[in-house]
Amino acid sequence: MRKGLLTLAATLLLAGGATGYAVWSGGPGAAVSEPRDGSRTDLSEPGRLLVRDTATGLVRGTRTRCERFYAAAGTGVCLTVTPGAVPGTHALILDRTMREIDRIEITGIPNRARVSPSGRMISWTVFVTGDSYNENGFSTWTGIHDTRTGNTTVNMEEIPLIKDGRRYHSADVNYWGVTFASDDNRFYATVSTKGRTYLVEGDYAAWEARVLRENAECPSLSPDGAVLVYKKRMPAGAWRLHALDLTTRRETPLAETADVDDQAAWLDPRTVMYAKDGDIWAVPADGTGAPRLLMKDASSPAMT
Amino acid sequence: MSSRRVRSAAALLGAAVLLPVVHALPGHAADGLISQGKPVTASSIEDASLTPELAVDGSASTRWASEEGSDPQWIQVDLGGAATISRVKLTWEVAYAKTYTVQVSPDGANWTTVKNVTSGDGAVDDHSGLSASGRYVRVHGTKRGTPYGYSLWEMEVYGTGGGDGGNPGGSFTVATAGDIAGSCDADDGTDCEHERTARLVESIDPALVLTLGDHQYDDGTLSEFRKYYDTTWGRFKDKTRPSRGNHESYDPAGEAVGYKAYFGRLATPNGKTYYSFDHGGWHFVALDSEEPMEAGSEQITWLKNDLSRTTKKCVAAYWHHPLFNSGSKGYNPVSLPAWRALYAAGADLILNGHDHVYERFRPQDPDGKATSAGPLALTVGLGGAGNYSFTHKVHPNSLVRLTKLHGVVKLNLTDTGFSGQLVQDNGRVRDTIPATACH
Repeated sequence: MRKGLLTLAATLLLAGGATGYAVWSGGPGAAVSEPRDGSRTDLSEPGRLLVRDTATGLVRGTRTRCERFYAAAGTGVCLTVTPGAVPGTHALILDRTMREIDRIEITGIPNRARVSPSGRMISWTVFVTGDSYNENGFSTWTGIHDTRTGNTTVNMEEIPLIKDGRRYHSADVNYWGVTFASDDNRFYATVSTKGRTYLVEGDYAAWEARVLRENAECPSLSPDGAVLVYKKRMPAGAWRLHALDLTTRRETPLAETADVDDQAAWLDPRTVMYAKDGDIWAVPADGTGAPRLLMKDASSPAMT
Repeated sequence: MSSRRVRSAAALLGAAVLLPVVHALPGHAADGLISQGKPVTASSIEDASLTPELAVDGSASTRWASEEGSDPQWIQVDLGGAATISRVKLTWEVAYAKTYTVQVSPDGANWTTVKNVTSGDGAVDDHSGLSASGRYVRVHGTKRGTPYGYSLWEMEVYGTGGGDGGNPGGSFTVATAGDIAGSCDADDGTDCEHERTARLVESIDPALVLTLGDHQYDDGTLSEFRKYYDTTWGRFKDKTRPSRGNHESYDPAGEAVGYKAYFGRLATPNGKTYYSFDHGGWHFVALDSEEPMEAGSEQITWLKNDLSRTTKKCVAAYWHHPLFNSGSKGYNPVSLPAWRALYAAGADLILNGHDHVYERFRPQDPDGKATSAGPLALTVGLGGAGNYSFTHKVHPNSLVRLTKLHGVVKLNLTDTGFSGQLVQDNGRVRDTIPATACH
């Protein structure tokens, strides 16, 4: 049944390509993109702020509906949930006109989505239930897709992990919140094991991750690759955004004092943006200034 | 059901009638039977009890049968060296060939037809007076006489030359699977998945059993190994050549402590959990993808040196984590440096487990480009653990994907190549791995 609907949507898209828009109102969650010639959105155009509209789920200014969205350098990623008796979740890879060029079936509830600064490496995190070794009541599966080779690692939890200078083995490791550097090789992410969370630095080509420090989740690397902003669990239980200078290893709390549960994105070389209370906010990444409201009723911010 | 019963009766009848014939003298005094016990391969088997060796075993009560209802099919015997062939005698089971050729070849690749039969009627076809030469003899059936497959009680080649009898370094059989024992044991009988696959391995009676990691769930402790695995797959432990999986790393007593204690020298023949060995014309490499396996690591350096030293024409490598995978876990870059080293050395076969599915790939290079210069890879995570599904995305070189089954892959290895079958625990052949020449 679900397959039939998707095929229908694909057929409509193909048929509509010559005349302009093809709109399929197949229900919430279905991702339908405008054909290339009808698009007003260009993901390769620098300096454009894209957000997901909370009310409609659409990426504003497009006809693409996503649970999570991100874009960089002409490549987008859209996590969608197709409704039905057995909901299907997909990571859609979008070209600069928001046209779907690849799709990967994933299982779970969309949580994070990222594209590397060059547009080559895509990553996402979903929540899953029912994993064995499930101590916290949920697990995460984090995937990495290389658009150049087409290779998809569905769950990166098997990456060799170095902790305290030694290879670490545990059945309960979970990763989330990947952020890639501009070389498409170095990346950062969160790993959890035995009830603790750690920031790791990864090397995609060598396929290895090393623990850098404890208590740093959902890192986001600055455009110059020098600073990570992440959420840090405070003693009272709330998450608070912090910045880590990767050279000096100095950690600085940002001026946003509220509880933030998001993987921040960079608005400009000195400012991060994030979802809070249903809106998008921005705050300087060096601990100065104050948070300011950037966009009402939106989430998943991405600056192209 | 009824056809099966009729067929059994016919088989019994056939055996009774044929027994004296088998021992008849060949036509020429100088010409001997040169095919018996020689390496033999076939395009398919009907089930695990009807393998091609049974057509050259000198017994008129055992037989080879191809899968039912499928044309064409073939069976070929490697005489072990150049031979002059004067006579080929075929003793058909009820499932005979109506149209078939008898062919000879010097190399197993280029065939010459020496007999063309278009109105076969089964029973015994005794083709004498031949003057053919070659090392390989093949019976190639193109039209079946019945709805069954093709089945031979015996295929006998007479002449002079060929190999010197026996089977030095020739054909042998290997059984392989990973992801094996849960918390049941042999006493649970066929309710226990790994008891079923163990019985299958025993029926195949391979020369070697290559295990692809995750022998014992959940943590691979020594007590778990003794309680479960040892009662089933432990029955052929002495011919098992294990490789380590991630579940062998979870032992609370320490990484792989239970695994090493259980398998002893078999797990670490040279003190390491990766090792190599030769059997027949093959060089085998067992790797440990739970140990560092990145470019420049001790293991990859060892692998490159090991591969550069081998003089064997055929190379197979096996370890737990597959590189390419349309199963639930997807691409695993941990295996890329090993693939690069094996591809550079012209390796022929790569066997992995981990994803609890079966997948067969087209020969390809480490970057996923299809090429006959690359190894053929199989994922065989079917030893007994609960199956996974194929989700995310099908790899472009993936040819066969099967799940919701337990079983093992049976490989027929010769000095020059390999073929095989995925055999399910009910004896059914679910996939036929085509005859492939070594690089």
